[in-house]
Amino acid sequence: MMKAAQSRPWSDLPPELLGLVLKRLPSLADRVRLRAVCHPWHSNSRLRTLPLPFPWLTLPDGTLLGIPSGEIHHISLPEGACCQGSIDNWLFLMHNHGVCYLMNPFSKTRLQLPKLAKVWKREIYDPEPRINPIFYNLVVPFPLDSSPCSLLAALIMDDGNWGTLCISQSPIVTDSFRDDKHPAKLLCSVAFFDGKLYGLGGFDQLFIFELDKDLGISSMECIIDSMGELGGIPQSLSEEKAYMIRRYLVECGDRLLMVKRWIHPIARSTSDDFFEHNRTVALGVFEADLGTDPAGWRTVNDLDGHALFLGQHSSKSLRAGECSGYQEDCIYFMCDYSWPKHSANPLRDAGVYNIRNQTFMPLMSGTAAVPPHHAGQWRPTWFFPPEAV
Amino acid sequence: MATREAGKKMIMLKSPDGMEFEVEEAVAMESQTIRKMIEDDCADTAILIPNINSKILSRVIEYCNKHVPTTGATGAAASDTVAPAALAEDLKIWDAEFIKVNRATRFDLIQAASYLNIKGLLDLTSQTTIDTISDNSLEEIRSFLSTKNDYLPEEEQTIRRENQWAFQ
Repeated sequence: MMKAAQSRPWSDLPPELLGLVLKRLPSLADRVRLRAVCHPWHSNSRLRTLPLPFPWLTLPDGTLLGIPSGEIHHISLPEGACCQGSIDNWLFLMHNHGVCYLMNPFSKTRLQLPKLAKVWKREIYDPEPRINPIFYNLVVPFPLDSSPCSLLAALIMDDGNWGTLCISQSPIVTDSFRDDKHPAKLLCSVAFFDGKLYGLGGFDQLFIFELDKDLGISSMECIIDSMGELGGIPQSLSEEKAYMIRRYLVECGDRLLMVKRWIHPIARSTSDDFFEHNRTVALGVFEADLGTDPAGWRTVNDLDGHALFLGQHSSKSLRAGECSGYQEDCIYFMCDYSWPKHSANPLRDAGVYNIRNQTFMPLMSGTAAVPPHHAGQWRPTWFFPPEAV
Repeated sequence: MATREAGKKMIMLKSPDGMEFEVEEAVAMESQTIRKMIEDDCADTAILIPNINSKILSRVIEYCNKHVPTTGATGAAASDTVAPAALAEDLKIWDAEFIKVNRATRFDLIQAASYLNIKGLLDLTSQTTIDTISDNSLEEIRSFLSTKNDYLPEEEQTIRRENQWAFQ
């Protein structure tokens, strides 16, 4: 009996047990390998609904880093494509000659954004080509997989601190905010919430945008104009220091959140990359309370069971229970603020912040090898691989 | 999350690299340039600082933070328990430590102090440069300030000859 059990092939593993194993594999690469072991495993695993695997992080050299394992993934993409952002499992790719599109790197499906780069370039044309975009924050009201013709909003910030908000719905592309009427220079993050487009600007101000039928922005209204009593720095920080701040607008479950991130250098930089030794020292989360009149910010002490992935190019929240290995009420962050020319490693200011007990944990597991750092022009952003490929 | 400083008017400064700083209005008004913007009502609550990167701006803000209680518009004494002389001495030591930076940073700090019109910081940064120049030979000054000699040999000879007393 024992002998028979020992020699019984693993390919006979009952589907429900295989499913149990699969569910606990947070890495898409492991799932793919498991499926490639033998035909029965392949066919049995197809039937499973699986939780979302852990996201990947794009590295400057065009590879993708598995979190928290540290595995490096090479994905074949069109020659010369450079990743400037992402939306879920779509990479925002750009070529030197100004062509840009969203691409699902597994299915190779493309969503053309024919004029996005051109609209922006035309509007800010500068005889001295010193003004360059430093980040693209792309957002959609619905998942692209289910509605590929979706509306898309792109906030493009340049190194002169000017922002352009482009609205795209193939084949129309419009742009706004190149005039004094709309102070886009201070917009720092946009998000769709309940089908409407919101933006963070000024000093903790929340704006709502109305689009007309030609996708022009017909109005921009400030609905929250300050933090009010919630302003100031967290108690854990010193009043004598000057902290750098980044702000992010994120939809999280049925709430619209502003995440504030305080950053401070731990040493003086010796190179021209003055963000070299910057580290995140505190995070704060505030909910836009839109039900009151006037609307205002409200401090939040949990994420209602969500995990939140923070990035200036793309932020995303997921219900932690639906995903493998995600920790609820935690904010995952990385170094998303360096300048393109410095080709910084996104892991140099990365971590997981638990907002319930206000503690920081490392983003990568203790056993993960440090990925080799190669320079490149890809921007750091989260990429959410599908359940299975 | 608990925060403090409630009740104090805060403004936001944004550097061209996209980093933001929240600063007490009184601290920001150490800069005459910003004070004028606020007083002229051009500032709203967020001000773009077009040509000072976040590394330098954060140092400038730290300087203003340190200096605001004694010279700031709030007028409140920094402390009732410390004598003004002791406070001044303390500030002097702090300044000496603050200015211990490399030449490139000091150069940026002088420019920032000048653009933002912060007299104390301009005095401090320029005095440090003066100290570098004083009593040093031309070669030493060039070396301290990493400045390339762009005079032709004969031009420099002429200058040296005309003002020989200064080069002895």
